[in-house]
Amino acid sequence: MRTTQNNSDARPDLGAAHLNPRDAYRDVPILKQPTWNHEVAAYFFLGGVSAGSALIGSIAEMVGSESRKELARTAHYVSLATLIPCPFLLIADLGKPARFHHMLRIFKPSSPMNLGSWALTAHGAGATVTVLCMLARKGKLPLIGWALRVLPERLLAGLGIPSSFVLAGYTGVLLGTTSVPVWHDSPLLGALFMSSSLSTGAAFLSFASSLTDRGHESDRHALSLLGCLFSVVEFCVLMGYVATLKHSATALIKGRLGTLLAGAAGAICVGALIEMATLLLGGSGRKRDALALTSSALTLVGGGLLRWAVVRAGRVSAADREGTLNAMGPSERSPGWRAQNQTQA
Amino acid sequence: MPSLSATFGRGAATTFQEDLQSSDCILIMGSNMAEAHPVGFRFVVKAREKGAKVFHVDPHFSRTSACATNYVPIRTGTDIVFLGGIINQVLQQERWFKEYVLPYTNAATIINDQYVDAEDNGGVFSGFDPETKLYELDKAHWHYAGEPTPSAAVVPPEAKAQAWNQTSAAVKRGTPGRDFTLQHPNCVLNILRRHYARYTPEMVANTCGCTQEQFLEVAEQMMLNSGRERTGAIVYAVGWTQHTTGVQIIRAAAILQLLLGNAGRPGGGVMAMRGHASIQGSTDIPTLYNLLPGYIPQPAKSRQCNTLADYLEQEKVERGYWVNLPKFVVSLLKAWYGDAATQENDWGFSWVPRITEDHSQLPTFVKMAEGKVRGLFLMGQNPAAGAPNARLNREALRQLDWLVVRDFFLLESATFWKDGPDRPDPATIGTEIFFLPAAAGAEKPGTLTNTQRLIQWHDKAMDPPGDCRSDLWFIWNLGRHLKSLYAGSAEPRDGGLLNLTWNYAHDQPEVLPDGSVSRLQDEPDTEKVLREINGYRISDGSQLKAFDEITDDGSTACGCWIYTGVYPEEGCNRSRDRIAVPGRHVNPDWAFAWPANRRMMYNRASADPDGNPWSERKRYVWWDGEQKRWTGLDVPDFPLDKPPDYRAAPGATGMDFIDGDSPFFMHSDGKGWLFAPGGIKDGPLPTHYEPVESPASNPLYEQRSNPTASIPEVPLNPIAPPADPDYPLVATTYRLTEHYLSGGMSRFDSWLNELQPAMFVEISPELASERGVQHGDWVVVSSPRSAIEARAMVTPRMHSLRVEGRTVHQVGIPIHFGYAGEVTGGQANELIPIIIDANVSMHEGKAFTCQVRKGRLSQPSDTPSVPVASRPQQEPMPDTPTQAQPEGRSA
Amino acid sequence: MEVEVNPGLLEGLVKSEPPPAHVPMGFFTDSTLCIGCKACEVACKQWNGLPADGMEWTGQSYDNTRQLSATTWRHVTFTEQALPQGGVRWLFNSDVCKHCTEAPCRQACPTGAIIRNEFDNVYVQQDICNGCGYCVAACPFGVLARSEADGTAHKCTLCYDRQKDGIEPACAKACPTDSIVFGPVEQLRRQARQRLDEVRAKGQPQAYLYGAEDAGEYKRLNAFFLLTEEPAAYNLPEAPYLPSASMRRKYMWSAAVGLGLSLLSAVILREPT
Repeated sequence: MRTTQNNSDARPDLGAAHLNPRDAYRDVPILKQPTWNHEVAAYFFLGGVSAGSALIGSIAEMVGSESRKELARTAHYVSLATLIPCPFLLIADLGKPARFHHMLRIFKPSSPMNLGSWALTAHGAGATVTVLCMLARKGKLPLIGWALRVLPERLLAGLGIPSSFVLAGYTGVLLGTTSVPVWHDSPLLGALFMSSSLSTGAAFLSFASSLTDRGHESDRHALSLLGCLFSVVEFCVLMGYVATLKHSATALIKGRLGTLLAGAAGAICVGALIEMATLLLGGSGRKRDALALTSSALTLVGGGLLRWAVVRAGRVSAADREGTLNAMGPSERSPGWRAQNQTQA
Repeated sequence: MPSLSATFGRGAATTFQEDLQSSDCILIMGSNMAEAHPVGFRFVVKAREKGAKVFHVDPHFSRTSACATNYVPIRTGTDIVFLGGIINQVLQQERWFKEYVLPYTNAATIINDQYVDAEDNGGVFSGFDPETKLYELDKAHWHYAGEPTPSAAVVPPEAKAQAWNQTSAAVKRGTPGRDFTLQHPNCVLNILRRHYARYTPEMVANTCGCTQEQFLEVAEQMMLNSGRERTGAIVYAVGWTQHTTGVQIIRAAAILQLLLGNAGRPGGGVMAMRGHASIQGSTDIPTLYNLLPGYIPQPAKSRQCNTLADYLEQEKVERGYWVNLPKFVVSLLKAWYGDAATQENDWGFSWVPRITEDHSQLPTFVKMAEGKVRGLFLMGQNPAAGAPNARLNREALRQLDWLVVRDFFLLESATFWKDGPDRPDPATIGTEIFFLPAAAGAEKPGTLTNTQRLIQWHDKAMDPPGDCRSDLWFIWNLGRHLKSLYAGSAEPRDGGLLNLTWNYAHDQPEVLPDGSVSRLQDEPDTEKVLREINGYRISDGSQLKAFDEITDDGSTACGCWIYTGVYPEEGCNRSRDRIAVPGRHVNPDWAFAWPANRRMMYNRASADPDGNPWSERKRYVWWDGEQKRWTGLDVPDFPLDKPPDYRAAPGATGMDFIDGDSPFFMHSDGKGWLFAPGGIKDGPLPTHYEPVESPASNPLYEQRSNPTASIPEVPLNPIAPPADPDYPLVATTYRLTEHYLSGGMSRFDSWLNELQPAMFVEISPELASERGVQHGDWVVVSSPRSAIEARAMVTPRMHSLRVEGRTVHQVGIPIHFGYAGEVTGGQANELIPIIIDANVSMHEGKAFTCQVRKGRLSQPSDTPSVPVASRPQQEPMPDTPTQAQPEGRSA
Repeated sequence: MEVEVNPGLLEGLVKSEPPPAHVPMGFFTDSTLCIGCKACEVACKQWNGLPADGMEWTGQSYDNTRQLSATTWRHVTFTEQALPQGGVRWLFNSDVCKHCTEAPCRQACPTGAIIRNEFDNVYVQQDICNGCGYCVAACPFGVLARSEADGTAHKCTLCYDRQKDGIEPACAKACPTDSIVFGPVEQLRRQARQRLDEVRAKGQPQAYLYGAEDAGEYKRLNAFFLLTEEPAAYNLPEAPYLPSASMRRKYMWSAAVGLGLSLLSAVILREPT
């Protein structure tokens, strides 16, 4: 049932009619609600962590000295571990899960989702081979180990970088390449998810290193520095994203989602500050470890909340009829058919 | 439709829907054409796009109004005021089409001195008997001057919807006196002028509730689109008929069309939109109790016509086409009784049942409620929801001993013993009900006769499922069983049944379109029925080509003379023809229109008195001087070789009496009747009466409502007194496109139900505000009969009108709901009274009074009786690969 | 009978030769001729075997289906306007998939399920679609919807099956007033322009064609409309998004940030400090 109109004005309730014909369908959104929900938000988060940590690992492998090997290995373990749930989350989100493999039926880079699927596959393959190689070098794969051991680690890392890079950055572009105003209206959503992917990747890595008490002191310091920088960039891009959304930001900054987004921004910001503090404080010991853990956790929570808020905001935005109509109003992008026709007339 | 037969000669729409596109101005009134007849409305839209004005004058702003060029709101039941107002403007401004009116109508005819107009007699015409509440039709109160007083009642009082020859017979003999100078005070045109003089724009606005400007715009456009170059059409439907003045409203429209010269001309005419599938067919070959096929009167007991000769003498018409009546009657008897009908036994005339009283639907149900009817067959009827005062109807059904319901679904009339607002106790109901499932349209062959007299055949696509059978199967097999039960009876009264020709069995096994043989063994051959209706020669069994081949010597048999030509020779079923020439809208090879395949009746009037088209723009049928024949786009509705300048010799009879400039030759004088000397039971001219239930007084007369209307005085049928403060609102009813009638077909179809899933009533924002109702609230609508609940559709499409200086609110009530089906809701017929009009026993369903309050009824409303079909069909389409299955079935 | 591939992993991966291209076909829906009878909705459901959407009375004028959905592919809008000077106006329009010549749904579709078929219509191949939902978010008209019943995206097929047999779509066939016209798109465009001139000349100068031509980034539609009120009155966007138009820019930003941060990482991770 449609809600009845405000009865307060002098005119009697017009019921089914309206003075402005634009209002006739004011309770029916222009857009359909996106089907994506928690699974997709979780995938965006974990896929981002996986891609981010793999990127860091591979870069460390490529540019770092022998002493970075440990960090790289941890990164690849983290990458594979966070990657494993991803396909399941994606498949669970499909309307027809038995047809998940149709994603790879064709190669269609013009569709971000198709490109992402290929990137995810390549990244997954790379991460798996890399981890297997690492295990083989440790002599844990006696049967096929000899074959894997001959693969040069740097080559593997180099080959893996492009797919991890795409995986880290495509998700935001995927959302941006829809008609949902809160996703569509800023050019920065891809950049936001890219930076968040790196920051959460670094945070997860740092977290894992602290928990497992692995890695050199220098690695921890580097991770702290990276994490801090990434978070700062992520925070800035987030601000830029919200600012460039203009009116369409409403869906993201109002109501419960607004609180969540503020929480995400706060977590990212505080995480970065704590990281900065650790860096400045220097030294070592349990206190610093605790601070690093806190900062990583905040970054991860911030990244997670961010994904969740952005994905959910799509529903709110699509349901906002006036917001959609305004967003899709005449602009330099397009005058719209009505204006165009009438100037011709 | 006695109004159309009394005006033009035949009781059917004068034109056809396709021709509406030729119109320059279309007045739609008493019809929600876009919603109730959307396919035909195509031609109204076409006319509008060609520049025609389309007026919708109606109590509620419907989809029809939205598609019209102008909408005029009026109070329901005031149509005669509106039309009378236009007639007055036409006459006052002298804008009637003189070249048409003088020769083609009875405008110049002088009416005898005994006639007293309702205007001079407090609202009743001369001849009214307050005792019987009827006019003395056997006295010459309204007759042409010089007419002899009829010796007997022209029409027996118990007969409604009278036969056409009885209308015609009102002018029995002599050439009427005419005054073409129109000086005689009692010539028809002067009577008209006086009668409508008080229908001024002020009076129209004050009574109808529209503004003077709105009214004058309609009048002006109707007058502008008249004459040689232009024509206007009037479209109506049950919004006019369902009034105690229904027949007179239509008469008013017909008078207007005659005055404007629009009858029988392209883009003109009165288009009656029939409300049910083949309802035209069911009056042609009638389900009406007092007519025989082809609008021939059923013999009445009161008239003591013991022999055919008596009957023919009583029904005799000496001039015009009805002189052929004996041929039609004898051939009908031959069709019914075959070899058993002989000259010696009066062609079996004694076997034809005599009517003894008013056996029409409403009086029969009133009697049924009193326990005076024992059994009933319902075929495609749903009186428990679909007839006025549904509660009384259900009470009546409960008094029956037995009831046979043949329908698709268990609709209200099959479940009234357990469901419904009365919450009946089945243990107290003795009616034994037999439900027989019916075959649907595609599961049986046959014809439908549509609103424009077009008889269209449809083939059978497949056998009906299970025990479903066609109605024809049922009747035929019932007849066969009865015949065997009565076999050997020597009772004279059983002769009719025993001698009835019943030879409709298939000669060969019935083959379906896919080449297989039907699994049904005992279906009759429908084409054989159509061939008998068309008529044939007894001698060699050859089909009759036209009704002028019908004889009265027993050599021909014909089941319905007006249909002759539909099956003109062996193997030629013209109702099956489907040839439409692109760009032409008169397509004689698209099915068959009675009479004689004429699409537009009275089309002689599309030519001027000399036989030439009135104008190039409006040419249709004309006299070809070289060929000495009438010709044109359509089959001429005139003797083909009768020249325009033909004048009857003194003493001529039959069609020889009809002059060459008399297009309305079904009337004895060949003229269109502005003034009806017969054929109408409540007055020779339409005059305004308020609906029986109405908040307003009659602005013209002390006589408030139609004096001839009768109200059965039974407890279940209380009537609100005039201006009853308990029921101050005016209610009107209408259809929605999405449903059909009481919903017996549509409310079992989820595709339609999702489009209109619940009962609602439409009220104006002003009324909603007065009653504290918000859009979408539940409201209770009550009348003295009953109360229903519905959702409130608050909309400015409902107008609150200023009538007699005060505000009158109208309530719009769709008619489609009931207590059986996938979706259920309050039914409008609970509220509607049984008030019976004198002409055709019609009820007043379009105007009554009611009250609206916010809230719900105390008893819970009816829940759906069947579940919603989640998918129309789950099984895959046979012989279709998976990829080609309809997408909706893919899940 | 044709041989059917056993449903399995390979189904949908088998590509067949596309049929030869046909002249582009489409709809011209003229709202000024619509009488709101909804015959198109019912004809569509009947032909395509689609179920009812529900039995909810919405109070949205006479519109109880309210929008296009996975199971409603034609939808008639009812717009009731109370005129300031008194009186009412009631506008009807039969909405449908726009069959965009550059269709966001097709561009988005990752599986290639959404194609342009030989009639230049946007068509969802039901045996390919895996229900990812990308087209649902991509369509700026809210046309595509994922069915709860079978998990795939559905919309108007422009009666592909009927077209293949040379007959017009069910809705156009059922439309009593020719408000819905089906035909070769080029011819329809000419017809629409002519009709627009007529409608304007007859006192509706505000009339316009929605989608008959390109408008900025959004390219023309193969199912376009003649409307007399602003698009929002029919629940249509004034200037719909073409999501792919800004995709490159979005990738650039993403890559730029990614590259920058990667370089930064490389610098920081270069030597243990």
